[in-house]
Amino acid sequence: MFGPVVIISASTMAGLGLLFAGLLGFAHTKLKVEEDPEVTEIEDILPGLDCGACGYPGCHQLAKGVAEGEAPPDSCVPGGEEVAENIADLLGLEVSSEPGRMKLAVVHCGAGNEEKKRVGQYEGVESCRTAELTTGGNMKCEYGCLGYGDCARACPFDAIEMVNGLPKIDPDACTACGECVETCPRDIIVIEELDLEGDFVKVACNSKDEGSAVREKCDVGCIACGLCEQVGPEEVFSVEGNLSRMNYSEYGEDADFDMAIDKCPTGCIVLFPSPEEASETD
Amino acid sequence: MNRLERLMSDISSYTEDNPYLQHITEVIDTVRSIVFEPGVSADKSPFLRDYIEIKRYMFAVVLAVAPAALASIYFYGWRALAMIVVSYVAGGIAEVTFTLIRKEEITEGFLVTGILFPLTLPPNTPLWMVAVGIIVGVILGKEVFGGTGYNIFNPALVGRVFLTTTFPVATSSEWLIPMTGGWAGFKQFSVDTVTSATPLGVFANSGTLAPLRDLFFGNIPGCLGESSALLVLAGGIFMILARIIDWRVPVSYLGSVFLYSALGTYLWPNQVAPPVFQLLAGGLLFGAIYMATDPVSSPTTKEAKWVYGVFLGVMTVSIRAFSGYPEGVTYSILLMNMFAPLFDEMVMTFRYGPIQKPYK
Amino acid sequence: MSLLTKKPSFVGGIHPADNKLTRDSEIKDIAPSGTLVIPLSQHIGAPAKPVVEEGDNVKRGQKIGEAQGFVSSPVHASSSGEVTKIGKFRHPSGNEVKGVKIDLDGEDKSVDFKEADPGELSTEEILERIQGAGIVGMGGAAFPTHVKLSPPEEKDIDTLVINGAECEPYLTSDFRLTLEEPEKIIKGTELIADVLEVDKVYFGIEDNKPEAAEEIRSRASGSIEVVELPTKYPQGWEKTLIQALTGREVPVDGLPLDIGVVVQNVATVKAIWDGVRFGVPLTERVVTATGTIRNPGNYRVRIGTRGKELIDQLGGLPEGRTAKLIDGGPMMGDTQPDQSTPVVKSTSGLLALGEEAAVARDSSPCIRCGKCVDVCPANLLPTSIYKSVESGDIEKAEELNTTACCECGSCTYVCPSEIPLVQWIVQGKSEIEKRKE
Repeated sequence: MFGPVVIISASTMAGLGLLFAGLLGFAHTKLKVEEDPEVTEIEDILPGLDCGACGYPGCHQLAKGVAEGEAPPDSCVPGGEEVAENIADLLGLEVSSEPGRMKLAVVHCGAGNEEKKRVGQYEGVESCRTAELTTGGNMKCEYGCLGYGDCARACPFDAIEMVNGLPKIDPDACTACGECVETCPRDIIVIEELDLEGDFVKVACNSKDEGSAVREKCDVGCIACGLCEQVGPEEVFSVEGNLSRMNYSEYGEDADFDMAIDKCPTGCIVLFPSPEEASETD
Repeated sequence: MNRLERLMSDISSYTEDNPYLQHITEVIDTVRSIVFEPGVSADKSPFLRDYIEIKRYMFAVVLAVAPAALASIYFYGWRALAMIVVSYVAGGIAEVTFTLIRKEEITEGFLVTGILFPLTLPPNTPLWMVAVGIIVGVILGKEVFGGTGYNIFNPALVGRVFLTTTFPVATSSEWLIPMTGGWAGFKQFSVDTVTSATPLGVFANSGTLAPLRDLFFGNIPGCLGESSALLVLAGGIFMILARIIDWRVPVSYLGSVFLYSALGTYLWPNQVAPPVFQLLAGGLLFGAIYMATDPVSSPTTKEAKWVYGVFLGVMTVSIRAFSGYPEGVTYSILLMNMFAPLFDEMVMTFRYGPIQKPYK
Repeated sequence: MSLLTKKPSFVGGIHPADNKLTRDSEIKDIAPSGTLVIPLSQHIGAPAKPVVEEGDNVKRGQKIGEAQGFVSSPVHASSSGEVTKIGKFRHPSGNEVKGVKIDLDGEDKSVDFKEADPGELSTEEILERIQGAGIVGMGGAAFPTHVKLSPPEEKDIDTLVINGAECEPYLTSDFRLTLEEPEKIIKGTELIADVLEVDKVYFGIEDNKPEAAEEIRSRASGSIEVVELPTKYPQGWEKTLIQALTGREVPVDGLPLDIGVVVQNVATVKAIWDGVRFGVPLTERVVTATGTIRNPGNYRVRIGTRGKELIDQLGGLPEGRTAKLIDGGPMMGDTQPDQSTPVVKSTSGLLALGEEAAVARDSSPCIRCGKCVDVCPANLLPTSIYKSVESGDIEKAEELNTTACCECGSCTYVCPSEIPLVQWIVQGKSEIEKRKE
């Protein structure tokens, strides 16, 4: 007695299934979007993080950009040299960045918790952006690190740790993606290209105030005295707008920074760990 | 202390005016500011706050529900209190476990869920079932969404629906007849006079209406908290006057139930009960006052609150009249919880629609 | 209160305890002494350019800063003495701005002021005298007054609103001024009504100050309609005041000018009369010193007097009780990191809050209760704005009209979760501003 019912329902379902399968098959062939196989291949090489550091919304869009020649093969920041080389090989292109150098986020402030001169006490949302945008920050120095750790929270690779009120960047984990640069309301972090063999040195100050004002506001700030220009390696230090800055492309492994570090009256020229040293200390 | 302060203030003004000592003024002022000046801050105004803060907010809800909880002991004996205690302990453990894993502070919202949940259950629910229900409510109703403030559904109702669907016999087929007179339930642990149905169930089966007086004072079988309409109303009025809940949701909910059932009872007298009976029977008042007004799962804007309340009323009466369930408050509130953010979104579009993106 | 006699008002608002401790204290003079620090930027617009040098001797009323352009205002010395420093000083709003430090000689010599009969002056001359006297909005915004009084040709201004609401708790300076100098306020009002050629003049005041309302009503010859508004914060915000008085709504991102209204604060109106009739520049103002400060009251204080100077003259702060020092009222004022900041043209009060009054509680998650939505006078959704700013969705914040927020603080005041909503919204406004650049 189930016979007819079973047959009817089974054949209806099977018929419908066949019909839809047919429609799908038709749609697949007729309405297919042609995708450049190159895009898929490049996307396979990319790390697939969709971090957006390249300026494209995600890895797929970057792959398209590279395939169309809009973006250079070394656009992927977290992927580094390896990915860049693989993509360049695939497309038969040359990688533009030099070997033996690395990009790294460098923090240009050296005022730890003890050195920061606070004005009053900040209550409210624990965020540098909020503090800066709503109360102008609560430090005497208008340029220094506020220390509420927005950069550490923004870092997609956990490369930043807040130590004593300052971001500490792990050179192994940092991919120079620039998220922290974007986030920092005071533009303290800058992406620099360093020579892996040379010294990892920075001017740990961001203050554009005049020397006398800096002395009043911070004990470890750059007072733009210009000593580093004279005693440091040639052409590396330059004082502009009341602040000493380093030209990282101007020195190699032989450059000697001892004098500059030693002579800086406020001690704001400092060494920081290279990837090698960082892994040694771990 | 005062003399020292004055001395330092004098030194400071002296050095400030003296050309040779001017530059040490800063140092002295800094020392002074650390020791004496007001512990001032660079935060943002305003510096005044309303008296309602979250602890008082939650405490006020517990206070408002306390008369109904006491009444449940009066009607059903000390076992009712045991259910509340079990709910607090089991739910508390679930809550604390989650906050520990998440490394967050424990929020006060749980105090409310913990007492509201057992009051929505039939008085003879086994204690272990109460524990299971509140754990499910806290975890699936709240914590999986991200904790207090992020849940879509009312956690107490999630727990209740879980119990009614998984243990239908224990949670909806047997009801106890409440005790009255003298000390009633305060003298004994539990009640064992069993009946088969609540007034709504009786109406659904036979079309007989329970006396309104009993409904109002609470002499009817039902869930723990919903027995006495009087006490539930009193709690609601207290919360509205204390600005704990917004009056719009209960008023629009109850109002739409009244209007819709007045119309319905005229059109389909056998299925739709008359309006006053609808208002007083079952969990409607309890749900409208304590559940539908839960701030997290109800809409935020005034306009959306009206819409929300009206939809709740229509749905509740429809479920009561035309579905297999005699009671529809729980399901309608849970269903409308899903729409609450949507209503808010609609109000936002309505409010800002014409002037969207003013620049560019 | 029946619906028929209901007073005009606006949607939203809160009722904080008004704490007007200094309500009955008459305005007293504070003698200038010690040093003054006069910021060269006490107004919205280009900062004034210093016209004195270190070492110069100046007299009260002497111009020390020249206006730079139309939207700017000059600055005058408030007492006589020697200019000892021109440099950066902390402004009450928190920034460091250029200012002039004057060591007073204690003689308080003054320049000669040029009187004039306003009836014989042309509109241009009146506006010139207003700008020359350095008059800016004294209610808080510090917008140069002569700019406000010269609306563009195409705007048809028909209504003048005098703002005497003073809705901030604690503050009573405008109230005392209205009570003690109503004649000057009325004359000033009539003067600017003539300048603007308006047919309707309202005087808006909260109904907790009936004696001040009566003072104006009895003296004004019917030309000014005094309206007592319900006591509700922020009744004194331009947009809510206009809505309550005229029923017109100022468009989002628009100005009162767009709907034909000009609003002036009572203190500004009084300063206008002094400036135009007597040629006296704006060098002093009434400040409510209140809270835990000893001898709280309303004082006529010279612009540039530092907080410490004022507080010391009043007997200082009692030890251990003060948690915060605020320039302005408790709802919208700015906290001062120390007592070195000066009284400026827009300082209506100096408030010291004790620990019990200045509440700072830890915030907990938003429970979507909607209280902030109910009280927002600008009809915004503070909770949604906060969530979008927190998650970095600035575009959404812009869609939610974040820029229409007046930062009145009502939302933070009511929030049971103690979320600093205003702070988030202010951040949102800054980020929107940044994106547009």
